[in-house]
Amino acid sequence: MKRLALFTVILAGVLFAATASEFPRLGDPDSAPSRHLSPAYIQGSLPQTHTPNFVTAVLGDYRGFDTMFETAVVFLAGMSCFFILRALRRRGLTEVYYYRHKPTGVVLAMLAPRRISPRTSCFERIDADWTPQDMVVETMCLFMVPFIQVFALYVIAHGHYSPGGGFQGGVLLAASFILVGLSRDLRTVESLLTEKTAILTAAAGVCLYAGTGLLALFFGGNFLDYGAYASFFGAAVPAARSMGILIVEIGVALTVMATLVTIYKLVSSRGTVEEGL
Amino acid sequence: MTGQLPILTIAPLLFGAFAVTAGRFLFRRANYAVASLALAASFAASVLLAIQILTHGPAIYFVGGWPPPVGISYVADPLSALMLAFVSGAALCTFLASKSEIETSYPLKNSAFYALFLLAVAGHMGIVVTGDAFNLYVLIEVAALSGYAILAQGRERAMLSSLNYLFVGSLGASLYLLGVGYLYIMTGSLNMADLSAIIGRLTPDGLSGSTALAAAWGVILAGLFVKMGLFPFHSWLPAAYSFSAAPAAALVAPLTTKVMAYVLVRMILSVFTPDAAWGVPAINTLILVLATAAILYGSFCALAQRSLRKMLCFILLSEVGYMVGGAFLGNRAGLTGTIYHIFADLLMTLCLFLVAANIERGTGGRFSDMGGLFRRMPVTAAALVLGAASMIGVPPFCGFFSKWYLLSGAIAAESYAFAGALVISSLVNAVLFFRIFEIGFFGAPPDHTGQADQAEPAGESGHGHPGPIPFFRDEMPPARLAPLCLVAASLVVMGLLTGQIVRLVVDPILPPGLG
Repeated sequence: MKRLALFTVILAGVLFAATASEFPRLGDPDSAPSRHLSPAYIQGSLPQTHTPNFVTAVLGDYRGFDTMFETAVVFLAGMSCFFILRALRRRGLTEVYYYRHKPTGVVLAMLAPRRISPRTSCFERIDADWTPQDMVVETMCLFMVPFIQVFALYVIAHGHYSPGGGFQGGVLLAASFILVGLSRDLRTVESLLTEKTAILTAAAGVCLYAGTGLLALFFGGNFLDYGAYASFFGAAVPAARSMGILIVEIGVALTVMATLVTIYKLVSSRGTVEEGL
Repeated sequence: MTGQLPILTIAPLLFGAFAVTAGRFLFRRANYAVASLALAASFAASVLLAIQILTHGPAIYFVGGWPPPVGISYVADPLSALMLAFVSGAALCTFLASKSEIETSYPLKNSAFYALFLLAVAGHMGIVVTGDAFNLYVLIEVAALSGYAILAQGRERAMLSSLNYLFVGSLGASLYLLGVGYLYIMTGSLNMADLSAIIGRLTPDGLSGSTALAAAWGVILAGLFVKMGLFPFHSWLPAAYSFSAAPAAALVAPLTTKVMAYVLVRMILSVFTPDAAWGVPAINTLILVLATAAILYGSFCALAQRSLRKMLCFILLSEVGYMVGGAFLGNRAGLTGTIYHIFADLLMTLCLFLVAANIERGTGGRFSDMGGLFRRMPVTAAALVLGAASMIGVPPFCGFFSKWYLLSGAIAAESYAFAGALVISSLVNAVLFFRIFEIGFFGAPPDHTGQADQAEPAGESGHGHPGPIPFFRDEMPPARLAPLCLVAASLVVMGLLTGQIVRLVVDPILPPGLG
């Protein structure tokens, strides 16, 4: 079987190499992709969509429908993880929760149904495999978080002019939460962005994108035709398209951030979202 | 607003999915109603669109207001409009028929299931209506990803089978994407109509003029074959569909293979012209051999199964062989048969998977549990008879007419092996279903509903019941039977409307010169 697989891979490689000989050279200005549609995008993006970065224009406007479904794929990934991994009923698991009495440092172990209310200020919940953490690492990581988030906002908002956009910015935002999770614990992340909020945010992000598309119908345009908002924004059609791209990029960022945080929580805690990495 | 109908077929599903996701926290009890409303709205829009297209001719919808090839377009022609109506109708029937099943199969995760279900339907419908080769890939991802997730919940090895499906399915989708990449680098376009025109210009004498374009076609074909589970690439299918919980299987099994066969037809007709797609005789012969093998393999493996759903999965494999073979016979009758069979098989598979879901609930899905089926579940059993008759190919049912077209196409193309396989598969189907009928009529029921002792033969396990069991003892509630009866009746209706379907839907799509 292994030999058969090796044979298949080699055969496929040879076939691909043989067929690639007909491809145009890399960066060839006379190749079909360079001549057919690219000029329309490169020359059209600034006058038509007010967006100097034509990659963003193609992604957010010309082929915005693809991007909407890609965002839906990200949302789907989060929902799939929730659907498959989330352990909502914990039958057969004997669970012990550990609480540390803050003034004395004494640790209590409580069997599953009994818990200490998180509002009781002199106890704090700790993970079963808790080890004292390095204060330097924790402080530095928490110190980094606001900077990462500001940079993420910049990446989202500046996608029109430079490389960036909703997907990248969303990943950066999620990274800031995951950094908190890695340097502190899962419960801190959960208190900052609860599972419920995260799922709602993920749905709201795609909904913002698709809703921007649907609302255009009521302004007399086609689905995702941001130009139809020109009268609403009181601006010219290209400026309205630019605004539309920004709105959908924000939607993408929300979905990507919330989905990645949700997936991180589910995978790191074996579906319980109680304690983990 | 009629101009917006193509997008309104899909928009309700998207927004419905977001609404039920939020509804998990806000209006949990109403979630089922919200999801059914979304499906019903989508079905209504699809039917309106189909009526509009059949009366006024095809329509092209520019998403984002950008005309193709700059932007993405939706193309609603008779074929895609009717397919949309079938897909959304099938999804609605499945959803309405499996309310109680969903609630018991996915405790506490209903809402997530509804969202995944709606997005899966949206993905399949988008694949049908899109006129853009790359958008089609994105929608394949949407449809497949939600499919993997909902198939993962179920009995025994459901998770593992679904993971297996994910690996193989991703490979298939990647191959398709690679093919689209080939097309893009050679033509610079992604719009199907534009691609077709450029390919015609680049290779006026058929695909053999350009190795890269021929490779693109080959890679796309390989990807589609993996996705639809044609014979050597089929190993994921039976396990993924038979271990999952019933509602997921009843949604994905009728839709995915058929929609992928539809993509195959689209590729032949709208991207590569039939002349180019069938240009290399060696490839046609190879694919016909694979299709013949798929039909025979599916039929004979079905004979070896001991449970209804597993048997249906293997019949599904042979049906995939029907559709692929018909598309590569290289004549009008064969392609007509394929297109007609996509619709017919969607209904038949839907009917039989719904029957299987009911039987699994009422008596248990193993053949040994199904003694006395006709007495215990008469309505479900009647639907089983209708579905089986259509699968076998009894005249007034739609299954007969697709076989008729496929057979006449095979004989016209002098592909007697394929014709023989079609006949053998019909005969095997007859054996398969009459075996179930025999158990259902004459087999004694097991002692306790759904808890038959596996080792005990069906015929001897009924000693505890001296009197005849009452009629309708294990029958499902009317809410589950009504959609099933509708689907079963539509098998006959579609058979009777064959002439109109071919005249209104298939003929306008096929190029006039096709022999």
